[in-house]
Amino acid sequence: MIGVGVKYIFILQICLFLNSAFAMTLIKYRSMPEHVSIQQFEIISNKIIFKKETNYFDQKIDYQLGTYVLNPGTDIKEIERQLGIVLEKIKIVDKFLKDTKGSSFNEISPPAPHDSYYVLEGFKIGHESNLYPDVDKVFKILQSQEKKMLEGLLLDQKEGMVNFFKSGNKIKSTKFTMENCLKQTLPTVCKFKNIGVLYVDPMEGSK
Amino acid sequence: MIKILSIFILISAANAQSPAPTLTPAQKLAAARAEAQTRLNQGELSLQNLDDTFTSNGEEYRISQFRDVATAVIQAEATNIGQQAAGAFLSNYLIENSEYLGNFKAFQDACTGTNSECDEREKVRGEVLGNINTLYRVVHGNAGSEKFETEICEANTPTIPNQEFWSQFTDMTLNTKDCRELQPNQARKVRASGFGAEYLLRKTESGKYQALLNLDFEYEGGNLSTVDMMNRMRDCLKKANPYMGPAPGMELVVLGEDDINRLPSNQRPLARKITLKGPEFRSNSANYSDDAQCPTLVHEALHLLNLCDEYQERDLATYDWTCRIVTTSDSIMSNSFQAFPRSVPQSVTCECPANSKCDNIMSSNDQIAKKVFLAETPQEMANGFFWVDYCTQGNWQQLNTPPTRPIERGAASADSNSFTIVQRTVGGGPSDFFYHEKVDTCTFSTSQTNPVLIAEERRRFLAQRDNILRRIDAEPQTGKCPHGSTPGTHQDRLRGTPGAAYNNNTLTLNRDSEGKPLLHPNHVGRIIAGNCTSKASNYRRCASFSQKSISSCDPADRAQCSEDNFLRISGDGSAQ
Repeated sequence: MIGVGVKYIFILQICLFLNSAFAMTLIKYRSMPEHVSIQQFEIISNKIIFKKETNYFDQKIDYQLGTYVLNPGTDIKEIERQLGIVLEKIKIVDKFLKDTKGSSFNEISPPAPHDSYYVLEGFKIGHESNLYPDVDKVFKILQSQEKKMLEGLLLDQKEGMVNFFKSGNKIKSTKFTMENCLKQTLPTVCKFKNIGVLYVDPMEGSK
Repeated sequence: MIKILSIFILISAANAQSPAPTLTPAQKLAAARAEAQTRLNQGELSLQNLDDTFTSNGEEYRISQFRDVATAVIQAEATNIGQQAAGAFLSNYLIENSEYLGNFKAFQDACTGTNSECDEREKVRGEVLGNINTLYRVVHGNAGSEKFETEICEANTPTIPNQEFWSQFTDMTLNTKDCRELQPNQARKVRASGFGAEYLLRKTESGKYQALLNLDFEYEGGNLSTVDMMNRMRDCLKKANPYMGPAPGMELVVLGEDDINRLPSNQRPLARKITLKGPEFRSNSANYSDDAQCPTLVHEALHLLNLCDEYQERDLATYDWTCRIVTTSDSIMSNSFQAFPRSVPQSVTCECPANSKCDNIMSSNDQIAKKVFLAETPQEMANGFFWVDYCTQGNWQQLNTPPTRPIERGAASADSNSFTIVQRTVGGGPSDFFYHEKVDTCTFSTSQTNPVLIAEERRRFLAQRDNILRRIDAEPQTGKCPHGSTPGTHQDRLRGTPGAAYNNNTLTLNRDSEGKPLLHPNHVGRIIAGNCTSKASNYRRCASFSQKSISSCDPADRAQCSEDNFLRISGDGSAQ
């Protein structure tokens, strides 16, 4: 078969890359006129840290933001393997563009303006990329894992309270007043400085 | 090329003669390749859309996965495809062919097949690299180093000429006729080159200008059909038009197919494709999210009339548009979410559950309680993230006596960098109400390091402060459902007289237009100037900074763009 040897070398390169992988970051990113929405998974050796600066990408309603550690049962090696295949392809393309065109992977096809996209180790992968489905699949697997909050906030919609946590313990509760929220129409976006943005819908009005 | 096509035709033919009961991955791929070619030949897949997908043997493929098919596409369509499509295609093409991108020696060394197999691979590699060069020129121009811009504001020509689009402008000569003032009932076509759009500019009998757009909505995702979006857009424009521009007025009209056909053929504006997207999308002039409401839709439609953004871009990691002139006078181009509800009358209903705070206050005759309850909040008075960026909240303290005002100015620092606001709230009932107040402090601070940008941010802070203080003095009624009530309907028109009404547990908040048009004089001047490059010169110059980084724009040129120059003084010899 044509190119079997080349393909073997290609796969070997990926395996070599995976063995040397130490940390990897996958971010889902969305740009809005007034803010950005970010969810980030950082794979560090044997654990995965989840930084949730928005609930926008959640699969179900979940009014919390913060930093979490994923359940130790998560198959980190498999996650690394799948992302590693995508990343290696991108790196080859990026190197080729840098060497031959003075350009880069991110430059030749930036995500459509204002669309949400993934960032894998700094490389942007938009909806129009053939790599998007593979990365999206991994992201959704990571999202579905059990997580333990290290620090952050949780909006108790029923009680109308925002509870703040640090080192896994509740340290503060404040009344949710929507004073940090934008827009008169729902869903509204509520920004918490240095923590992130919550999409809240539906809630009572201001004041 | 012929050789490559012959190879997969042969592969396809072999597959057709002896179809295997279970296809191997290679056979599936070969079948898909043949399928792609057939469908392209039959017109079922469009060469214009390089990301078209199709199904073969139960699996989904994209055209871009097929090197040889892609070659045909690239050769035939290289000059006709849009820049964005070419960029996406190039990226996918590179990924699909990444195995061919290593250096030549490594590539040769890695080939462990027979000589003829290695020769064949080398030929394919040459073809792949040739395609990449062709595509790269499409995306970046012949120079090969132009930065890829996703949206161009106020450009005179697009970076990549789309032959099909531009050839239709051949009857439009850019000469002095474009600078002649239109007489009543006259019309001419105008191009918005930076946005790939065209509009028909018409002057009515009464001297009012109309800009007519031909929008072609295409569904890609989301919960709104193309018909729904067209209806929403028209409804929004109908509400916005009476408040669009200063006298003699400006109307924006979106034409339907029937309307287009009724126009003389030389007056029909070209269709501008708008893609409908799901809610995970920030709308722009070519793509609308399905949750886009009137402020956004009117803003985006106005881009197609050559107007540029004036709001502060916060996502500087993605869009380094720090050179943009950020204006402080609200308009639909600078702050659509605030300008729209202030210019266009609004009617909001809120449901107040029986015996709730809302019900108690609105059912009572206590005018102070109602005034405090229905007052506009500081968050409504401020522009966008002003509150989050600069202000901290005080603690609520109970008042011993009812206040006379719902909100008041507090102290201010001598250097103008800080000011306070005293805000009151009401609770209790059904007859006795109690009040609390808190003092919120807003202080200027910035993370900017560029002195010019620091000065500009401070200027915006002070302008916002003045705006807030003016509204505190005016005590406007809230446009949002107050605490204790649930939002019901929202309409961009008045239902009854301005003010609040309460019936059967429904609170109706009517706010009339505050009288400020959605556009400033130079916005209208730019729309009317159209192709005449000697008009609207101030607006053109200031808007041209809209999508540039501070490091790439001329500081002296930019310094000429005061807010008055940008928005009010035409620069053509007389103030508008």
